Order: sequence, then structure tokens, then C-alpha cells
Amino acid sequence: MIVRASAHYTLRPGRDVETVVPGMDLLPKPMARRMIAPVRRAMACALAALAEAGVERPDGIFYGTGLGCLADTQEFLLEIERNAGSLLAPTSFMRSTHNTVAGLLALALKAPGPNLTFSQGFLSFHAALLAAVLHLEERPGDRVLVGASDEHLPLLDQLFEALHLEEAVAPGARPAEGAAFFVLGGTDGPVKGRVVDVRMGPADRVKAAAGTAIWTGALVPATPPGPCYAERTGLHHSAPAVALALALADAVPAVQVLDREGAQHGLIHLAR
Amino acid sequence: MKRPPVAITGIGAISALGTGTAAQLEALRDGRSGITRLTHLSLPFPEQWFGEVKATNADLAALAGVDADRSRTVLLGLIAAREALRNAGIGPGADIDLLSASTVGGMDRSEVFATRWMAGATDGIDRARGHAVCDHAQQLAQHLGLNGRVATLSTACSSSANALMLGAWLIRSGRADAVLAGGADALCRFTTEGFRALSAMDPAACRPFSADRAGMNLGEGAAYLVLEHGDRAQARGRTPLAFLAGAANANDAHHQTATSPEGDGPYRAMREALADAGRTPHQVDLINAHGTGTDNNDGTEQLAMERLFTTVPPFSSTKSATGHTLAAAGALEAVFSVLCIRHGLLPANLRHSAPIEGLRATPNTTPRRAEVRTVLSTSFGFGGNDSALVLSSTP
Repeated sequence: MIVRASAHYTLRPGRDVETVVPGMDLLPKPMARRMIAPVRRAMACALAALAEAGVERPDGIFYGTGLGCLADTQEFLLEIERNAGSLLAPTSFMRSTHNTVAGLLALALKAPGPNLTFSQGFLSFHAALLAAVLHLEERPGDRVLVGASDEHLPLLDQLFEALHLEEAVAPGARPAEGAAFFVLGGTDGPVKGRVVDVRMGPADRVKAAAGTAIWTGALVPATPPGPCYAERTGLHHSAPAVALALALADAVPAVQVLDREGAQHGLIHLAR
Repeated sequence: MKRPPVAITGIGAISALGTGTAAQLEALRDGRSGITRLTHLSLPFPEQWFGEVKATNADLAALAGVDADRSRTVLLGLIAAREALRNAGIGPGADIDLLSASTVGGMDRSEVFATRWMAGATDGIDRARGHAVCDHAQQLAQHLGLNGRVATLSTACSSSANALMLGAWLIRSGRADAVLAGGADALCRFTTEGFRALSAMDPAACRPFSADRAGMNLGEGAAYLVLEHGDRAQARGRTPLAFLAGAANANDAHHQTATSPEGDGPYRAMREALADAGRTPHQVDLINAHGTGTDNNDGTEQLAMERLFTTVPPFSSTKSATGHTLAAAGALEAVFSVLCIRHGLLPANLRHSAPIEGLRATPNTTPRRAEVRTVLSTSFGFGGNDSALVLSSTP
């Protein structure tokens, strides 16, 4: 599948002070005012990818997120604790579903096509990308938006410490926020790269091909396969999507991005 | 190239109507309601009506054959998924993908401690490991010995309908021969408070499509279907229970939680699902409607039906018996649709007293016997997420 455009950002707490989030000027103003910051940044990123591809209204939106709208989920839990028994403010509940970002994108773009949200830890983006590929195989003329985003909360740092997660991930990886969006498909327009393959499943079915560079995610042992990308993307479930956008930005000729979630492995093979 | 038929070779379900598909069928035939006050869960809503699964977590764990130290979502999911696999004659180690849906995930357990974690405490913090909505799918794959892809769909109330749609896509693409697709959601405080805050809960038992409807009842449950490439089902000597003939997902692009006044998203989802199935509206024998019982949903959904069908076929909302099981609803109602096809049943839309003002059709209010070849089943969710499935006795 042809990649027409991509946009991404990473916000590593305490490190990225002046992260530039693409597309912030493209957000519809009244809508943006009502959104919390990480959702606004993810939306902006999606709009930037669409603008680069010259697509006003994608024919489908395929989105992944590991932990969904964490800030709104946290806010509604606090609202329950503060005001149990009386009438609660429903706003944070309405925005707490995992498909909030994809739904808001459909709303902002008036996009009537399929709108799917996947959540499978570090393979959330893989599932979204696979669904997009399935859609494009049936409708090759369509141009679809594919992406992933995840929020960061101080609570995640706390869980990271308390659950000793540093032992499970690549050295130096710390909870962060990030998003990446891509425009795929269509019969004309700019060509930024090509998704050669996307795979999920047991390890024996997700083997990297020989002769192509390998990048590994935070849960994949870095040696022998290849360098770990987690340092650049920050540690969040949408990191594989950000890694793919970084590979496009770096203009690497081809790369296989390897990730893992639980017993399941994931691979995305990108070429120029 | 001819598109391969997507056969349904196994079904499993647990809901307020009981455990197992036989219990679901019996309750649907009898027109029985599972909506009650809470009797087994200790949530602080004594005045509210629910479609509660009548079992404690310990009861469910015993049924599922695992210990109870996990989310109720996982326990419900295991019971329904195991039934579906057994029904299809598929054992552990099978080469089968899992597409599962959930919105609640492990929230039923993490909500007990979450605000204390936010304040820096670490009590019960191991529960955070099971919080993510994908955790239930990973546990299902592990305990059932599934050897394939695992992906969780989370598109609010249309989640498991979308899991079934994606299952059909995977099989048609040739990437999978068999997919276990469905969803699970447990009752919890978070979703109950949420729908209460939205004033979406009927203070009494819900009355879908009735002029006096006053909201939904929250339910819980799980349902899974084994989807198989028609050739593979035949090669295994399995007679399909029914076929997933078509599916579609469309976005209403109107409002985060409300449907557009004309029901545009629901209309397009139904029209496109029928087109995907190669069916015309007059071939539909039964609509298993989304029918939550809220003012906005039922009015716009029925308007969309009346736009699409010259004469609206018999329709009913089985949520009047089960409550709204959120991410499990699409799959649960797909199981009901298969049962209706297999057993020639038009299920009842309970507690309907008068038609919605300005609309013509009325739902089927008592269980009736009829030949049912093709069912259109709808599921609509937050984010304008509208899905429709076409289930049929033929591909």
C-alpha cells in the first residue's frame, strides 16, 4: 500500500520542552477549544498528514490506541469520587471511549466512511494498519487515514515504578506521549513510501525477512535483531506508528519494525 | 474472483437471560426479561434496573475453569468463547484469529483503587496490569490456546459488530481461515455513573421504540461466533449454522454521543451492509434493532428504517430483555439472529405500549414463529459509529 503522507510527534516528559506538533494551525477552532491537550495534539497530527496528502475527507479512518483517552477517564473517575450520589458532569465520560479521537476526526472532517478503533497494547497501530490494508485491497481507489495516539499522565510514571516495568522494557525507555498519522492508498498523488507487509501473531509467523534493516520496539530484545527505536519515540503504545513515521522522515530505504505485546508479535515492513 | 462465503460454525453467549445459547433461545422463545435490580453484584445502585448476569465472580470463575482473581469481563468472555469453540468443534492449539471487543475491559477492578493510585497509594496496584481493554483478549487467547492474531476492537456500543465485520474482511482477504469474533463487557460503576450522568437510564425497566420510552438499562454479557471460510468449514465436515452475508460500518459525523435527526449514519450502515450482502431490503425477514430505549436512538433509528424499507419488516430490540451490553451487544444480537434463523423465531420487543409519534411501524411485541432466512442486525455507538450485519441461512 502506498503511503502518501505522514505526520508525527513525541512528547517525552522532562525532555521534550519545545516539541513541535504538526498541524496545530489546522484544528477547527471551536472544536479545539473543547478538547483536552493530548487529544488536540493527536487531531492536529492527523490533519497535518491529510493536508500533506491533499486529502480533505478520507474514505476511512483506522485508528489505534493502547490506553485510550486516559485524562478523560481519570477525570470521570475523580468526578465519581467527588460527587457520588449527585448529578455528575457527563463530559469526561462521553470523551472517555477509546474511539473518541477517531470519532472526533470523522466529525471534524465530515467523514462518513468506516471508522474503526483498535486497542492491543503495542500492537494497536498494527491492527489499525491491517484493517486499512484490508479496506484498500477491496477499494484500491480510496484514500484512508491510519494512525495511532497515546496520552501520558503522571499516573503512568507511578505505575511504571510500582509495577517495576523498567525491568520489562528497553533501557532508558520512560512513559511518554505520542502520535503518528498516515494517508494511505489512492491511485495518484505524492509517494512517500510503501507498506510492504503488516503482520501480527505468534512469533513463528512474524519472522523478519533477511536483508532488510530491522528496528525493534521497547519490548523486543534489541540484540541480535536491530537497534531499538524506543529512545526516539518515547515509551507509549503508539510508538510503532511514530517509529514508522521516523523511518519515512529519515528516508531509510527499507525497514522492518518489530514489536511485541504479551505473547503476540508484530511486524511492519516499510519500503520507499 | 468469487468472494468466499463466511460461514458461522459456532456460537456462544452469556447474558442476563442465562448461560449458554440454549438458555438464550429458551428465554427469547418465552419472551422472558432478564432486567432486574442487582442481585449478585455489589454496586451502589439499589434503585436502578440492570441486565445483570445472575452469578457472582466466583460462580463465573468456576464455570470458566479459572480462578476469580481477574476482571468479570474476562470471566464472561471465557465462558462464551469456550462455548462457541466447542460448538464449532475447534480445540486448543487451533489456527484461529481472535477479534474481541470491549469498552469496559478491567475497569470493574481498577475503578475500586484508581483514585487512590492517583493520590500516590499502591494498594491493589497489580490490578492495573489487567486494566487495558486488550487484556481480556490476551487472556482468552491464552486460556483457550488460540494460535493466531489477537486484536481488540473498541468503538463503544458497536464494538463487537465491528469485530464480526473485520472477521469477514480477514476471511475474504485470504489472510485467515477461521476467526473467533465477539465481545465482552461487565457491569461496573464507571459506565453506570456515565450513562446516569447523561440521563440515559430509564428509572424503570426499558421500553425500546415505545412512545413512553425513558432510556436504557445497562446490561452485561459476552458472545462469540466462529467465522470460517466456507471451504474450510466444508472440508472439516461442518454444516454452517448460518452465514455472515454482509457487514458495514458508517460514520454519522454529527455529534459525539447523539445520532443525527434523520438517522443518516444508521441509514447508510444498513444500506451498505445489505449491498455488501447482495440483498435487497425486501429480502430482510427480521431486524434485530439497536433499540436502546433512549429518546434519541430509537426515534432516529426507526426513522432510518422507514427511510430504507417501503414496508418495515418485523423488528424488535432484544435489549428490552438483556439490557444494553455495550461492546458485547453486536455479537450477542448476532447470536440471537442466528438462533432466530435456525429456530424460526421473531423475538419480542418487551414493554412496548404505543408507537413513537410521527412514525408508522411498531415492533414485534410477542415471540412469534415465522420463517426467518435473513436478519439485519444493527449496533450504533458513541463517536457516530454505526454498524450493521446481515446474517442469513444462505451465503
